[in-house]
Amino acid sequence: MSFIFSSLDRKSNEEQVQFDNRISRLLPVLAGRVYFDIRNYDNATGELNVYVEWDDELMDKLHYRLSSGGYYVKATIKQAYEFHELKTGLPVYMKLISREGRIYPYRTYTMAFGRPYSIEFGGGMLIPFEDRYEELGCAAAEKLKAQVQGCSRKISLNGSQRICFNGSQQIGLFGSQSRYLFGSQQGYLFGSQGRYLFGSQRSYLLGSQSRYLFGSQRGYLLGSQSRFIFGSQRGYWLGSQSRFIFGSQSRYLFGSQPHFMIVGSQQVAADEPKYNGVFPMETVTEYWSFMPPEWQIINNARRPVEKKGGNARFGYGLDLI
Amino acid sequence: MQDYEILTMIMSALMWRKHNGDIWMHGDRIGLEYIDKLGISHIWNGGLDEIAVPDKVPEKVFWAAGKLYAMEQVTMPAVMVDLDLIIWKDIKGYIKNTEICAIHREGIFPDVYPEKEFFHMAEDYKFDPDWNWNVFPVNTCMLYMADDEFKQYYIESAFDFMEHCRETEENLCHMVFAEQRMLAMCAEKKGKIISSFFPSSMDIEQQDIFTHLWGYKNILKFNYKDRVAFNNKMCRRILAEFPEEEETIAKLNIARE
Repeated sequence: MSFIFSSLDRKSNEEQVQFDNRISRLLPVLAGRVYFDIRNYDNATGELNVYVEWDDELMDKLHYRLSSGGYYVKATIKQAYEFHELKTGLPVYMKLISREGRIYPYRTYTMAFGRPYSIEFGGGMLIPFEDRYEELGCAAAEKLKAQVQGCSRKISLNGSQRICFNGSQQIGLFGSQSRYLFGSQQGYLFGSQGRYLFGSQRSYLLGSQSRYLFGSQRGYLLGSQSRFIFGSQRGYWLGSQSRFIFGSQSRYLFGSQPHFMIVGSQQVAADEPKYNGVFPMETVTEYWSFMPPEWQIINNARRPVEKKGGNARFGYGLDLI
Repeated sequence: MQDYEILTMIMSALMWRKHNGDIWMHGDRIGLEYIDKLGISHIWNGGLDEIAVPDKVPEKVFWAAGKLYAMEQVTMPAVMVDLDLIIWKDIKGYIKNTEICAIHREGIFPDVYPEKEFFHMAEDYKFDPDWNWNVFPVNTCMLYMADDEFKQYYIESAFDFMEHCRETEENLCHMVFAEQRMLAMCAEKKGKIISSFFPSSMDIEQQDIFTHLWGYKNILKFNYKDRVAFNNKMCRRILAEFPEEEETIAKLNIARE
């Protein structure tokens, strides 16, 4: 890769306009790998949100780094299933363009079934599918394992089982930087039971072009292409250049209970969350630990281990017929 | 109705009868006549009950208001089940000690459950100040209520909301507020605990009690091959479990091989 990407550097005797011209005339380069999971298919829009592992070396050459989430390919239902069933990632190709000596992505696409599929940025929701990382051969699979182990050692900043503070180990997983915090099965900044360090399979991972945000079930963390604008109507976590600022409406993050405070990259747990009629975090997908056991008719332990097929988006329990 | 919807509806009723007892179908006159015309009205051994939604409830906005008016006719305790939901097991043991029970709660997603300022209401309508807007809505594809007095309070609140609504176009937020969010608010106000089989819709894939066709209907609608496969599977299952319905199924116009 370095052979190709080295040509993305401006030579000492190269004028800016020459550099711009040269880059803009380059053939597409291999930019990473893209992974698919049917849970991320929106039947209404035909958009299959994808998880992309970008080539770090290329990212360093671009004017801004790209996020792992927020991208989609257009696909029919049939194609979406075909992508899902690939059980591997596909190479991502990128046509570059240069302006004033700065390199930007111009076209991004992958090749499948004999034709190109454009990979577009929509800032949309991505349900992370960590459960398939290993099967798909994602580079993140190994890191995820390490993170889970790392997380279990880092739990209990305040003795709470649910608190997990990020460490530098998390940096590489999505190509982000150390100042970012990661959510977990319980939410987005909080680990739970040491099982996941960031984002459960049901959480959403959303990115911005230059910053990484981790969202939740229905996209409460949304990224955009602008590094200064995070969130949207549905985004209640805001990020700034070097730190997170949380909650334009704090109850969406923490309910009415200010159990957690986050300042810069520091996470402080005030006390153990307890249910008092309002769930502490509006965006969590796993409410179990916030729901009193007596309210749960079926708890985790009684649920079958294997997947029974289907999900909320496409109906569920379909294999029971 | 599509053939796969009819088969699911039949399976839902038969399976309920098998495991959980008698079942009634509530529908408007057109719906019940359609059921009768299909020759499947005997499936609902409790009978068919007609409901009428008042004209002052905007039909386009409150397209599922029939569920609420059906509840009005039924004395609790009872379970309300959507037509596209199949319950494969006896759930009496699960729900017997609950006050209100559903399959799962829903998050307060602002594009589905907006703030009260969003609602287009008559000037004389006032939201109950005691309602807590932070409680999580309840998905009511299956809903059990033990207390008839509470049911009355809930549906009257919902009727009041729907009848004072001045919206004529928006057909999601207003509907789910009356149907799902208001239930949680009313329950909280009355001190009722809502139990749910699962905390959220995203936890449902690992279970073996419910089949909910839900968004899969869209896939079946636009994929003939999947539709035929689904119908085949459903017919086989119905005939295996309820061979007495062979003639009923044979009379239906079903796409299958």
